[in-house]
Amino acid sequence: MAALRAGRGDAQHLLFERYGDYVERLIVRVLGLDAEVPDLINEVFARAFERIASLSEPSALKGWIGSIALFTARAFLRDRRSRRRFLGFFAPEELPEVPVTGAPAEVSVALFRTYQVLQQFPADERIAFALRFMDGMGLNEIADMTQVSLGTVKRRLTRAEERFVSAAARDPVLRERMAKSERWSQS
Amino acid sequence: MIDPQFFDELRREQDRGREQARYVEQAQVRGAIQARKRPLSRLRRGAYALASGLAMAAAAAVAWQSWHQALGLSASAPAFFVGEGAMAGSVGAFIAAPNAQELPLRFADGTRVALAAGTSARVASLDEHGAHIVLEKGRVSASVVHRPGSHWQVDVGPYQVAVVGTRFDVSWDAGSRVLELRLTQGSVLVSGGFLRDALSVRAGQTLRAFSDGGRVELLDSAQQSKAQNSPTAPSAVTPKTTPPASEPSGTVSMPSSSAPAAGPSVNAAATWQTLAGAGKYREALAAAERLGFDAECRRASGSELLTLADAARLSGSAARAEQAYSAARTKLPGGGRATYGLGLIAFDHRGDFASAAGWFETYLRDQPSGSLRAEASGRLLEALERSGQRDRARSVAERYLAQYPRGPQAALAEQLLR
Repeated sequence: MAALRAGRGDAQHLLFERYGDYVERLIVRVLGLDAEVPDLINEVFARAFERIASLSEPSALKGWIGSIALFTARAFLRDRRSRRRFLGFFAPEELPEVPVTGAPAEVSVALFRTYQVLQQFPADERIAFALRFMDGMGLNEIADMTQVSLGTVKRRLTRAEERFVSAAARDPVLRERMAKSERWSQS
Repeated sequence: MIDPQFFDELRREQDRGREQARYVEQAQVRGAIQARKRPLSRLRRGAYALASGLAMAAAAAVAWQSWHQALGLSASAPAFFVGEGAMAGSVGAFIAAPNAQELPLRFADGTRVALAAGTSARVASLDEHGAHIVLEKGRVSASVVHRPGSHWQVDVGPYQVAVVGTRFDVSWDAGSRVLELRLTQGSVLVSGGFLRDALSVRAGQTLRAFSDGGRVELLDSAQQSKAQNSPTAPSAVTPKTTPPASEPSGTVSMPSSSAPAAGPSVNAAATWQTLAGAGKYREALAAAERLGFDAECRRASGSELLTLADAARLSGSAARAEQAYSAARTKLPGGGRATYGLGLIAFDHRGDFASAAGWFETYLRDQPSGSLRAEASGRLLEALERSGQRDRARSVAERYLAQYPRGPQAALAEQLLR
């Protein structure tokens, strides 16, 4: 921690090595597979290095950087919502064809459609929903990382669930998957 | 209300996409580019300095940027080209191929969509995930590059073809209202028109949807060439054609939501399992009924019966589901998943929570390493609570929290123990 506070490059490198994947996972859960993810990872670590002095408890480092990741993602979502940006495509010479994952197309399409549905959610509800269901995170952990009360998390999840079920029922791909779901099949 | 299992498969798919995308490595590369481009604050410099060892990769990324700029693919520039030259395409514009010549559309991610001679289409929208193409008439051959998060859609008449990464030919005959989709690589999802549910088409398969007859044909390539050489083969473009009663195995002729119930032209023996596998539960159950449900319960294997029972349950036929699950229990070691299925029927369809608890307890006892133990434990907890057996519920709640502290019924378990 002292090395981090002193701005030493080796300590910062170690922090990136240790928590890079974790930050990436959180951002992807919230945003989906998005071309902006690498830049957001950079932004999270830049903020972390700037604010490291504010971290008083070293054992809370992981949760602390996770919170920064979520707040960064939230700011990005709000910004994107206000100005839907057009992003250029990658050039084919620089991005070789990625093999299809092997999963059936309906899974990939369902994943895409899920994030299309989530685009319509308020950022806070989207984050709670993504952490709970896409990541499988517990309610208390979500509350800690988003720095709100457990009751607030529950309220956000309740609203988000209602939104999702309602929107998914209008989507043929998601509706079919819901029909196959044991819990949703009869709803 | 939400079923966490619904997201398990999506999470795995997303994790595969994360592995392919290598976002963390990209972050390091971009960090290195930024570090070379402009002076940075002390702290940002620290963030970017960690990527300094990736200079070669950064150089490649810079080369990409140059190529990108050379093509004019900035935020305000078009991102596809019409023909083999540099004629920029325009989103929303009508594009018509000459009557005697193919016309390619080239997208900057490497995807190519070739309009056959005489074909007309539009690129209705375009974003970072892919494009939405509307085929007005004719045929297109597409080779779509798969990238994590990519999504392409081709609207063909009343149908939507959702594409992830694949090669296919699709045509729409507006006169006879026939969709033909031939897949050479990957898989796509077709929905819309008279199709009630999305239909998955895989490499080597050809789908024909006859809108006027409300009929679908799905053939694999071997069957198609055999069918084309056969004088009794179904025509690809004649909607009134009825498939022969002795269709080759694997050929699927599916009734649609608007079509009349499948008649004797459908070979039920060949299709009820296929239909169930395709998520056509009502049709699968109907096909099994035509064969004789009782006879099928006697004939089918345990795993086949699970499929049939699931189809019956998901199409709302609790009695048939119970019959098939019960038959499966006698054929599977320890009853297998069938016991759990009987619990679901009691719980979800009958509202008989005491019986449901009995089935879930039996499953947990007979399947010590069953794949549905977490679900059965949660369902048992709910069933005991709803049937008023609170003492037993509390005992189960303690065990549940110890084994699945983040399980979907953890909140209920905690509530019961307060």
